[in-house]
Amino acid sequence: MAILAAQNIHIEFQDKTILDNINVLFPENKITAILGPNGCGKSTLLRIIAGLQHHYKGEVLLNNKNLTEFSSKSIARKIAVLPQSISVPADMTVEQVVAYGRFPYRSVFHGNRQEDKMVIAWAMEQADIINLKGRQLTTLSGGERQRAWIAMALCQQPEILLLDEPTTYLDIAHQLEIMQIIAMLNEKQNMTVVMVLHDINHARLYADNVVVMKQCGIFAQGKPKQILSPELLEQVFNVKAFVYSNTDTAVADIVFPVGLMDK
Amino acid sequence: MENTHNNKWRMVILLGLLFLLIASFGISLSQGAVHITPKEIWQIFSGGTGANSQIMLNIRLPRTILTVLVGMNLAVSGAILQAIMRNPLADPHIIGISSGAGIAGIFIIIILPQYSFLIPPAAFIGAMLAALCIYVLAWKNGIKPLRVILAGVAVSSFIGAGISALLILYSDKVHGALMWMVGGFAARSWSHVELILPYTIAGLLLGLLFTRHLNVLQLGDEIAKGLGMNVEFIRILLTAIAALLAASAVSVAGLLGFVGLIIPHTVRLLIGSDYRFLLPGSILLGGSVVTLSDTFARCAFAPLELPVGIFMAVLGAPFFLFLLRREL
Repeated sequence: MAILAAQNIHIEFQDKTILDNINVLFPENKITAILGPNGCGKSTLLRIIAGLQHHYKGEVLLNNKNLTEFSSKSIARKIAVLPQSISVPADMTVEQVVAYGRFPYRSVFHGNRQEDKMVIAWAMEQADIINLKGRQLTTLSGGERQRAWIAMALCQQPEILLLDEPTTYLDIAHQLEIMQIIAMLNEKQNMTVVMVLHDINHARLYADNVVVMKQCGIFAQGKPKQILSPELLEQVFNVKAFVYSNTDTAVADIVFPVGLMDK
Repeated sequence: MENTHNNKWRMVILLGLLFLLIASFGISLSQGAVHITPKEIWQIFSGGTGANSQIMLNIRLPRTILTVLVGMNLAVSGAILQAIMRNPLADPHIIGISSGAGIAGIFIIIILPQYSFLIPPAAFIGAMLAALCIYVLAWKNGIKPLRVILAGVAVSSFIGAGISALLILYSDKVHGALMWMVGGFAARSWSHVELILPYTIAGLLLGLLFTRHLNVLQLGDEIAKGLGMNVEFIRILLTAIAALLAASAVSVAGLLGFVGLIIPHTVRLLIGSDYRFLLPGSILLGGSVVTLSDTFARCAFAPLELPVGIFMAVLGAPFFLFLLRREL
């Protein structure tokens, strides 16, 4: 059970405002998608709620307690975060990298190897990566590698999972594969998920809640089907779009962007 | 299964490196201006007072122990720097940490020769200052491997200019400083062993305690922070350990280059970049290679003795190019 909320967040880099007066609550046990144009501050917001970014005004509350009051290791046991791109030494195997997710549970002298082993096996099973555990990470495809990183994050046994564009660079099948693993973790393990996404339809299909950002602030938030409308896409992305209703199946309606708005 | 198999294989290689170290130690003891047979060595160590026992106990044994310790120090220093600077070319010599220690040492040799006991602490301060300069120059929203090496080269040549200036300004005292700078073990005695030993023990133990941190740091700062590591603190701590190891090696053996580059990479090729194995492997191979090199340097052109620093550079420069072609 973990509640994450950001209150009055304001941050600047070199006199340029990146986030201005952000107030957002990430509902417990739900999937929240953060959408918005490039450079609107999505990734910075994710880094702030992950406790990776310092020197901002306002506060992030984890279970009604300021995030700065937690030690970095105790944050890592509650919140796992996957950045956009991760560099990896040439000869590391999947199992080795996944095991690094146990880092916050160990100190220089202490560690529970038996428990670590069980959690590592569980995490690799959840991310469907067990058959690849002896492979070197550099030899994997993009989708397989992303699943390995997810398994590493799961080794932290987090209550909250934060992902920055988890499907970037993947083909449509592997995008859906990652989204399904995330949905399964939310449903079966009750994990709260917050992820930055670019695909409007992924947000409509998989998120319970969306936060739309524009120019350093929050433009709208709520249920995806209600707020992800052609009007919103026009106002936020300057894009012309149509909604196609799917009458045959239970699958949600599809939003299709067809072109830029006229200048 | 595969991983446990790999770990067994790594243990076998570590065992092999241990034997190599023991063999190097024996070869170094027996070879030299006077050849001492293994049988004689055995007699000397079991209390005999043969003709060669003075040579063995006062010259060859301390020198051999010293080469082992210096090799271990430089190899582990390089291995640590490669992880925390996220650059395969990081080596205390190349990026100027050894030069920082060197200029402090030369300053004392030339200007304050009566305070030679101050060389190790001065060298450590010089090494830390050089490391600090590299970080300040390379820091821009985090550590980028390329900027580290460029900043290191800049710091290294800047300090190199300072060393040259000192040598020219005090050209009458240049010989001692020059011999020290090239890197070598000529005329080293037990006092040098006593000087470096505490630093070696402390540095290696601390390094081995932080192998998991070194592993995680290889994945980048973002991941390390996300896993709950206090990256800034750990990086400063590990830099201090690396600087301590390099500075104490420089204090007794001068500017011995390339050990910190060649050894960790050779071990990496053998057993991979998992620091739980890489660090012990570097300790063992570092001790062996410097000991063998020194043995070669003093025997190959006998009675003339080459400073081992020259020999290491001949070995190291092509290896550096090999790495450039392979990894960058």
